[in-house]
Amino acid sequence: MTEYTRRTVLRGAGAAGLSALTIAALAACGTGGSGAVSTSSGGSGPITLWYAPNNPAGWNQWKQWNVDTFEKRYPKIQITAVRQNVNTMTAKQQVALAAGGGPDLITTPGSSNAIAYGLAGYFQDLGTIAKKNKWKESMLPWALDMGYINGKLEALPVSYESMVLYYNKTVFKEHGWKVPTDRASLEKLADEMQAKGIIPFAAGNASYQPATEWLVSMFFNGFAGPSKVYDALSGKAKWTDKEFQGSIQLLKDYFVKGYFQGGVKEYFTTQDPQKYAIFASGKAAMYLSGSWEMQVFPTYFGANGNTNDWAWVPMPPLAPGVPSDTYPLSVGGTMSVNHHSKNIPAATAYIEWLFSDTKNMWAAAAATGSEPLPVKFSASDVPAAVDPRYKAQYLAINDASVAGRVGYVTWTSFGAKADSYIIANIDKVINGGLGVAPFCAGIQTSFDSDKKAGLIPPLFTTGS
Amino acid sequence: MTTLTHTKRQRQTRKKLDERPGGIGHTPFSYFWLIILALFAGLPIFVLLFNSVKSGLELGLNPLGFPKVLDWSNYVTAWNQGNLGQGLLNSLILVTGTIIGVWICAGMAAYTIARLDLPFKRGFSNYFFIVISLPVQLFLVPLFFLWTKVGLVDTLPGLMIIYIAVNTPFATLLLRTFLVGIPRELDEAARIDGASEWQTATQVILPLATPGFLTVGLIVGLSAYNELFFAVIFISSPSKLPIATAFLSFSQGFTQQYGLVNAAGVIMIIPVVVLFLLMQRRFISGLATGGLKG
Amino acid sequence: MTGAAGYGEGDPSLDQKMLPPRKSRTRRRRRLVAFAFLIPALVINLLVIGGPGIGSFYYAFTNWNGFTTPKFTGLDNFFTLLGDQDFWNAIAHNFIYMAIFLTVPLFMGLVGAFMLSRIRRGASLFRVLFFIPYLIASVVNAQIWKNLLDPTGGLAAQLDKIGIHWLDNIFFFGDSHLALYSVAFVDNWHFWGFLVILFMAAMQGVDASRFEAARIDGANAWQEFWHIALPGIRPTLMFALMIISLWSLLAFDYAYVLTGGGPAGSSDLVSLLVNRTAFGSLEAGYAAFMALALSLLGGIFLVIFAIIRRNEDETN
Repeated sequence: MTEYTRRTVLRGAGAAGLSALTIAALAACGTGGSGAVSTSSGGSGPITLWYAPNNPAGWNQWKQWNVDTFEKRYPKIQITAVRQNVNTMTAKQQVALAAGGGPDLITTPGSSNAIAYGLAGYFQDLGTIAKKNKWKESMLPWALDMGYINGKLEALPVSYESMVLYYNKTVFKEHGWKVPTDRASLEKLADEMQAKGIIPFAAGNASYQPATEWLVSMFFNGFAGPSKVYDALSGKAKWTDKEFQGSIQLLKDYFVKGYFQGGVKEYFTTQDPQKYAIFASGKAAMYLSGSWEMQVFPTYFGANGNTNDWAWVPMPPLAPGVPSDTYPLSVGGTMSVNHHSKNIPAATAYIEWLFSDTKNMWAAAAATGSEPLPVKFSASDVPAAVDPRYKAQYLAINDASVAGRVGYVTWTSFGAKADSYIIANIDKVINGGLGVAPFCAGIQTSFDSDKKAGLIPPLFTTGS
Repeated sequence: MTTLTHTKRQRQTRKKLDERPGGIGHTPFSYFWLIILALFAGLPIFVLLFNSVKSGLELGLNPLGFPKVLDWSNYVTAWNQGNLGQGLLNSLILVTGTIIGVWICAGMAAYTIARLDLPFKRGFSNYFFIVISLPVQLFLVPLFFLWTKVGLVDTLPGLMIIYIAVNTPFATLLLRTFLVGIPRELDEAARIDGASEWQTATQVILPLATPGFLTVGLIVGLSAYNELFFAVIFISSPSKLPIATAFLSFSQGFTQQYGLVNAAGVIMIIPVVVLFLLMQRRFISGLATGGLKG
Repeated sequence: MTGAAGYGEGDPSLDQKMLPPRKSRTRRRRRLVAFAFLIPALVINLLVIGGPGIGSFYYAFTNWNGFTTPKFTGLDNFFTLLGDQDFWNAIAHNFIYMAIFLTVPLFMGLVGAFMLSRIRRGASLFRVLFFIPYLIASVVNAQIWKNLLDPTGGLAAQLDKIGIHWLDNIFFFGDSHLALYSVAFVDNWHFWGFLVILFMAAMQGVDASRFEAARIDGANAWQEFWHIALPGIRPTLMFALMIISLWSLLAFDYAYVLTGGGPAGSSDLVSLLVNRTAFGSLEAGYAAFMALALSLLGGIFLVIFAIIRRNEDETN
């Protein structure tokens, strides 16, 4: 029922990406990581970690890069990775934590969830570990900031990603198409594609219903613009303002026109394998999604007789005044130490290893395309085996985050209530059952509730 | 409907069988509809069976029809990748334990409601009725808390206790109707002979209520075997997953490979179907004999 | 149901003046023994359902989010429920579900059972075939039908190949107008066999001579069905109606696996909503209240059926 969901891929990617960070070495000096590990006394004994793979192959890969390598380094610690089911893991973990149990290492699919757990006191404060390992210097500042809950560093981001426009390079070349650079060129291109019987955007949420929020995030950033989103997130603007209503209206219009998968019903019915298949075969020419997809594409492009190839560009702005070349920032997953863990030293040792072994991280990225840890790196740190497109995308993201050309996604920067509201209701909007204005009003109500409960994640700034 | 003894009913049933209108010649209309219904029920199963032996390639070309080549590798792969052997074993333990537990709890409860001098009989009966209508979410979270405190989370016995509790009300009410039909003279005779209540129950009445217990065993066993919700929440370790949850994880990971998923489905169904084929006569006569007085 | 006769009661050989104290002592002891039989079921039930149920009852009137300390909020949840569109949407679907299940599978079950009772050869085979869908777990069933009803790879595609285009462009699970009915259809496919067996067994309990008499009088199959079979299985029919009503309120599995309540809430059921509310939006207290409201509704149905049954008992 769910295969390559953002969350599952992220869990896999996140954990694999966690593998390595050479801290001091990668920092200001920019020299290659030595893989040296600077940890505490290390601890020993058993610890557990829950992980929900997107597919059985994903499990083995993840285990190889995140469990086996760790165990080799730390023979005294026995880490038990328990495989979970992606749809039920959140419920299970929540109930387990509430009952005073749960795994020693807690992962969540994003900051929005992590905050609620943090406020409830489930997490261990990792501030001292951060200082000892000088994470402030080695990690991307915006990502590290997201890990602070109530002033304490409790949920470390273990992967990060952005939202871009992927396209089928082969099909584009065949028809002499150029990548769109603004709304007008996008619509012209989409209309041309439809005339030729090609679906503009592959899309489908039958495997993972919340997928529509990816598009909401991209349209908020693309139409209303990151600055406006920042204003709304900080309370200066309202979600009912015309820029946001315009974003949703545009999204809806595109659905009605059939730009996404050919129609609303098709969108609701298409499962992930079909979605990827039509993108890879060229029946659909473009795909709006996140960095995690780069891990999936090799299964479809150039495999089993397929001869197409993919490429990516940043999402074009959809309204005048919105800057181009911006990258919405998303934290793919967080990891924390369970406050009630019976083996905190060992759990902490794992996290420290994770963030110190950069070599492992890049090896995993080269082998599987998994997402990297949010650490600063330069082009020379990336081994040759890593796919150049992957390298280019992450370098672009890093450059953008330094320059401030960033945007916001709903599952990282919004509060839990607003995020659930969007997920639950956007389908009704594109289906015609809910109006754009009431939808935005609903976001505002949930946002206010989140704000009151202190559930809004730390807000990084944008605007260049 | 008058209450008949077990043997009298058997004679009646046999007699009715002989009086039925009979074969295709006499009742073409009935056969016609029965065949339509049978196709409705059976075709999807046949598709499942067919697709489970098709390779990925053949599935793409021939998604619904009879397989041209029998490819049994799907079963092997599904068995290994989905850890279905362990799942079946876990389910076996769960089902056996649940059936025995329900037999004891519901059996005793039904016996006392049906045949003993229980105070507030109506009240207890109604209580069981009400419990059947409760949605699981009503007690799920506090139950999880409780189970965590006593260390029963992620254990098969812990899940078993939940299944027993959830199935007992329905089983009690069903068994009650079976037990009510057994004549009182037998109890009295036993009591006069000096037997204790327990001896009366187990040695005199119980043998007569066997069809009822079998019926309940089948229904409860089926429910425990197919149960998904509690298993998913309460069991975390992969080695303890019962078969339904093992299948769920497996099917989510292999959405595209219909052949494998179908093979896993067939593996899961086979034990139940075989068991049912063996027991179906008893099961149906069980339902016929007693449980229908509502 | 009368209680069993007690020791010595009605035995004329016993001394009259000894009876009262012995009778009450014996009576009390018998009642204690009777109660003792009930203990295993009661204990397990209170442990798993009763106790936690009371816990939930408390949470239902708080603003509990699932992990931090709950705060009592009185009737807030009640007012929220009144205005909650998602809830009314879902419960409307539950009632549609109920209406479908009280008619379609019931009718199919009755017809199937009646037909089965009339044939001699092959009854076993049909019985088994009808019942197999019921034996299969919901997850497997859902998988089978999801594949079958897939617009691009299932039945529709196959029919296209032989030129039948009835099923073209029908999105069983993707069209918000169809989703609920598609889910109901699959659930029906699973459930109907159970009713056939139930009714068939009940029909076997109907006096055969009445069928004979009707046939001699020249009644056709339909008249036999309507005037003899149906009235004859009335208690079972009532039982089936009650169980179906209750289970319609609690329906979960098929909607969860097939559509998750979508698209856009068009196949949402209350049990799914409660699940989401408790674990997705972190509103465990409100979810508990919803579950409570649902139980109340179930209770109302139980009372209705109890009244009907009592009237029947009186007329019988």
